[in-house]
Amino acid sequence: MERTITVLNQMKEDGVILHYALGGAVAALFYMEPIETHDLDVFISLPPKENDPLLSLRDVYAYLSGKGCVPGKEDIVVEGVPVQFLVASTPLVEEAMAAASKMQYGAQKVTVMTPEYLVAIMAESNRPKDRMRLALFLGQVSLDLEHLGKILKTHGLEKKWKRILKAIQP
Amino acid sequence: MKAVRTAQRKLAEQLFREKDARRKRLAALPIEEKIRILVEMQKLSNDIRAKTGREQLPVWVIEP
Repeated sequence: MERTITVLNQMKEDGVILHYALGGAVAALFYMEPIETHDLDVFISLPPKENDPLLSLRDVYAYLSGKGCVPGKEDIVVEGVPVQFLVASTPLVEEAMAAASKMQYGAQKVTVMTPEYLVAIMAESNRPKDRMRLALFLGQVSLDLEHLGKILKTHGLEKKWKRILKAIQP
Repeated sequence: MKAVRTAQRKLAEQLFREKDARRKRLAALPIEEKIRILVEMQKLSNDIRAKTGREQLPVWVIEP
């Protein structure tokens, strides 16, 4: 996966994307035990020259295809890893990208969403797999609960969070 | 009977404690090692999928 991260960093350097942050299950893996997933979720922000996100994603795919990457149905295989590029779609995700931290993977620096934002995004998405991951995540990761509380309040997720906690805690 | 139930409860509590401790040990592994474990999980999952006639999912090709 180090080679995949190298490509992501190169994309930023080449100006194809403005910024990226790993999210989803692989970002969660930086903090918790290994869980199964089959793609790498990469949230990106795109250069302002393009207004249409679909067009800009096409640029991303064109850039990667030029490097020999193979596009699939919903992802593109970058150095052996299927990557799903996602343009930030909610204010919470935009904030999570801005607050993401640099971590080390082999010799590469990689930008990864912080645990509090990952929890808030899982709560916002609230799919069955998010609730399953949340239950494991909360049992293994030390969170800054004050910070999490602020995030949930800012994005109107407090009530939803209480309902989720009630559902997943024994 | 009560003694048996107590022993069973203690055994179950010990198993849960050990499971929790194992999860915390796994959570503390370096990310590179976790990704290697993830790839092994993908392979195992595909073995089961093949045996139950389900669609195969991609297995990552990562550097050694």
